[in-house]
This record gives sequence, structure tokens and C-alpha cells, in this order.
Amino acid sequence: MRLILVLALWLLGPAMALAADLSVTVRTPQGKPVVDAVVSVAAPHSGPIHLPWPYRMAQHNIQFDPFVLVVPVGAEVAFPNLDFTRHHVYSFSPAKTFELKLYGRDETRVVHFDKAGVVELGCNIHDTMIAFIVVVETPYVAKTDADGVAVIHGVPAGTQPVSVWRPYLRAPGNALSGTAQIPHDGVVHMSFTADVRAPPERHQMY
Amino acid sequence: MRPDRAGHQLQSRVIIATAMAVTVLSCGASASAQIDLVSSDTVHGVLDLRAAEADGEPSFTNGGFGKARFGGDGGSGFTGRVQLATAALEWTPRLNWEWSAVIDVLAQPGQEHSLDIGQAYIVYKPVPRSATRFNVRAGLFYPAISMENDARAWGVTNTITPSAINSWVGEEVKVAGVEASATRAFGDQEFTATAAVFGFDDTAGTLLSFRGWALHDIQSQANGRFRLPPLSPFISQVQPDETYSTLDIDHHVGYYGRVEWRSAGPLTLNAFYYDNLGNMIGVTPDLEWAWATRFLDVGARWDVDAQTKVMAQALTGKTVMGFPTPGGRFANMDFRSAYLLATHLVGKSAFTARADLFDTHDNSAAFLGDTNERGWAITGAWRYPLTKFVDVRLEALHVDSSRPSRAYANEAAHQAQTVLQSSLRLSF
Repeated sequence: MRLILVLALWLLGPAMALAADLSVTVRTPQGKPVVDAVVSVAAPHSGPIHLPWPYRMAQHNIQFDPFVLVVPVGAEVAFPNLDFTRHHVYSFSPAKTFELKLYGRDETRVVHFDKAGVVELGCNIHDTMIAFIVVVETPYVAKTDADGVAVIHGVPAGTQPVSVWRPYLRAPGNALSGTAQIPHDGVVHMSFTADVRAPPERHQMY
Repeated sequence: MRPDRAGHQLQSRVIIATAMAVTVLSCGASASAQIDLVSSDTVHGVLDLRAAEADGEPSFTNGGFGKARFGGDGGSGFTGRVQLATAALEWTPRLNWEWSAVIDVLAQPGQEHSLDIGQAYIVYKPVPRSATRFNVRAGLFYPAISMENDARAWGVTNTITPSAINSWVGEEVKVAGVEASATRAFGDQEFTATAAVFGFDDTAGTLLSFRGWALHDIQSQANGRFRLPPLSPFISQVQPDETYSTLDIDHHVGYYGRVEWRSAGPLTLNAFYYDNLGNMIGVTPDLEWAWATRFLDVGARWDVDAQTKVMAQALTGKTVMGFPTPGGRFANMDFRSAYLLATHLVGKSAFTARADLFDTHDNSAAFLGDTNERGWAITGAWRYPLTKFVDVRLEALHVDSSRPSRAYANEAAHQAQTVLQSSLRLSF
């Protein structure tokens, strides 16, 4: 028993000692939290990437859900249509061009995302439906929550580039960047300030 | 051609064309379930139960010069009524993934026909292959002028009564034509350009000349007419006391163009130019004339924050009708109007305030008749959604105008009027 404990400490010790959690807060100049911002750290990693949330872009109540989805390169993303109405989902973004004809309460379709980048989704029947899939090449990524906070666990120690991207962020390329000094363990806090503009309002009837 | 025959013909043509298109496209569509003719997705309706109290002169809907949908009896007291102000059915069949149609059937009390077509058009909207999106529609429809009518069956979004500009659009600026538009994103900005050719809008300008500006939510019918107030002695010899809104008399093809720019910030701007290229002297045996009407409308919307938006439109134009006389054509009038509107959300309530200014300038001699007018209106409205399908609206409208031609009805040129309305609106 003691041997197992020693072995576990020996195995975990270095890992714990060489990485820390990065907690990033994104707020507007007025102090309001910025939700759905994608925070990522381009640190080296090895092996396949698994992100701890479902790779799923539902259509529900004539909206995409979630508004922003982060998936790794190579992900298979499910597109379940939970509405009774049909949706004609499309993207012409360079990172992935596709269209999906989804009947109401239809079976789920799957799309393979094989290139990094931002994929903007629309519905040709419902112009007000807009969502984004961010395809990343790093496991060190998280999305800000309702408090405008994103926590990335286990970021390798050292000087690391941090970037923040969100649709309609008032910044060049909708992106902000910075550098974080990641210690060997513990939590490091970082904050960004940027305004978010309202999404474009589209006419329903003309 | 009798106007009512012409109207019937148009209505028949619209129905036949729509039915043919539905048939052809549904045959062309693959045997799969691409077609969706009747479902909760394609059948929508609006019912508007209205209570109204108004003072002042009788409404134009009763053959008067009154500028609102409801008027008084000419005295100082208020007159009230309760009615089903609008019943509309909007059918939006989907023929396949890229072709669909919109057919509005409307019932509004006081119209010539208890049920008639409002709009009927086919839409082609291919899935975007690039940052440019295309949209084509053909049939009978309202051009995109109004920034207030963005609800089902061309309904008004936040008030009961639209502005003077969009009230006029509702009664005299509906076209039968083909319209194409392209929208392209430039970074976070979007730009839309639209062009159309049309007919069946030859009488545009008749109501505006002989009655003047008005504020109401009555839509023209494909086959219906509006009553005109008492006309000048000269005009009453050449024009009956009614006008059909959807007529093609001179067979000239008119056109319009529109541009819209949606900035990355809170501002949206649009401009619209229309010319029906009427020949002025075309006339039916029933003396409905082919008016030459052209106008420019500019609009702006400023989204102050998530709760507040400000909108404005300004329109200026000219309409001319009839043969030349020593005093000019039978009718020759410049018209203009503008409004400024602000909507503020407090919880689920939407509070809207609007100020309208309008005037007309008669360019022909006084013996032909007087179409001069100037006036203003203020509107305050509250809209509250009771459920997803039902909302309640309260509105106070005050119109003040001066129009010398009221003398034809033995009324004083200057009139002021207040209309209080409540609306319980079911839409699905």
C-alpha cells in the first residue's frame, strides 16, 4: 500500500509541479462580464486532444445552441435538430464549407472539422440564427462563463501566449492577446477588457 | 377596363401564378419530403381585437378628411367602438430548400371585400456559397421601405399605428413585380443592394393628393379600393370618389432601388428610390388615372443600447396626373414627411414615442383644386407580451393638420384630433 502511494506521488509530483491553472476574466470597460469568449494558450502538447464538453451544435427554439462551440481539429460535431421546423444549416467559412438540410426532429447529422479556424454558421431559412464553431489545435482552451471567467487547467509552466477571441468583440480580428507567466503550480489570474457589440439585427419579414 | 375588373384580373392572376408555381415546383422537387405546404411552420395568423375612442372630424374611412383610422362625429366629444380590426392569415408554403412563397389574406372592417389578398409572392433564396447572399422575390408585395412593419402579414412591430410615411406605403405603395437583392458582409459590416421592376402601382399618389397624409394600419387589398373625401369641382369631373390601389393602366414598367448599410457599430442606414414611370394621361373608362409618382426615402436606425433604439425615416417625392391645362396638369403635387421614433424596453414592456411631420405643396392652379397641406402628429404606445402568442398594446395618437380642401366638406381647414386605442393581438 505504502509502495503504491509513493509510486503515485512520484508519478504525479512532477506533473503537478510543472503546470498551473490559468483563470482569465474578460469584462467590458463598464465591468460587465463577456460571455462566450474563447481563451486559448498555444503551448506545446503531445497526443490527441480531448475537450471535456460535447462536440454538439443543436438547433433549438430557432436558435443554435451553444452560440460558440470549441472543438479540436479532427472533431466530429453532431448537429441535432430539436425543433419541429426544418433548418438549412450552412457555412462558407474557409475553415469548413458545408450545408446540412435538417428536417424537423430529424436524426442527428455529423460534420467532420479538419482545419483550424473559425466557422460561422447560418440557417438559410432563419436569418436570425447565427453561431460559431472554433476549431483549435491546442488542448489549453476554455470558454468564458456567465461571470466572464474561463479556467484552463494544467497549463505548462513558463511564458505562454494567451489569446481571447469572441464574435463581435470590438478588437482587430475580434481577438485580444497577452502573455502569462505560468508558475509550477497553483492558479494564475489574468484579465482582459473589451467591448462587445450587439450582433447584427436582421429583418424577419423583408 | 373597369377598375374592379382589373383588380379581379390581378387577383386571379396572382392566385393562378402562385398555384402554378406551387404545382411546377412541387413536381420539380424530388419525391422526398422537401415540400411543406401545410404545417405549423407554414400557416400563421394574426387577430387584432381593438377598442378605439376618437374625437374630431370623421375618418377618411367614412369618406371624410380625418387622418386616423377612427374619427369622431365632427363634434368635440369622443366616439368609441370595439371591433376585430384585423384578421390575417399568412401562408408560407415551402416548396423545397430554396423556394418558398408568402401569401397574406386579410380581413379589415370597412374594406370593399371582407377577405382579400394583401401580398402574394414567391421567394427564391439559394444557400450562400460565399459572403454574398442572394434573395429574389416575384409577385405582389410591399417594397422594403417601412422600418416599422416587421411583423407577420406586414404588421407593425411596436405601435398600433404606423407613421404617416408607412401608412401611405400600406395604402398606395404595393407593387406587382420582380425584386432581386444581394447582401454581402465586409468584416463586421453588411451591405445590401436591391433592385426591382414592377407594374400595378399606377394610382400611387391619388389618396395622397386628394386626401393627404394619414396615420392608420389599413393595408390596401389586391382587389380593393379606398374612398376619397369630397373632391374639388374640377377634379370631381375627372375622378370618381374612390381609388383602386393595385391597378395597371399605362402598362409602363416602373422601378425601384434600395441600398442598406449595417455598420459594425449601432448604426444602420438605408436609402430607397421609386419611380412608377406613369404616363400621367392613361385612364380607365372609370376614370382611374396612371399617376407619375416618384419619391426618395431615407432611413436610419441607431441602437443606443440593448434596451433603446431610435429610428427615423424621411420621404420626399412628386406625383403628377392628367392632361396639361393653362393651370398645369390636373394634379401636380410635391409631398414630404419625416418621423423620429424611439423605443425603450423596461422588462417585457416596450414604450414607444414617435413624432411625425408632413406636408404637401400643390404645383397646379387653384381652379383645379387645392392639395396643399401641413401637419404633425405625436404617438405614444406601450406594448406588453402576455404570452408568446398574445400581446396587448395601448396607444395615444394626436394629429394636427391644416388643409384648405376641407372646405369641400364644409369643414375648417385646421383640424386636430386625438385617437386612443387598445389592441389585444393574437399571432401565431
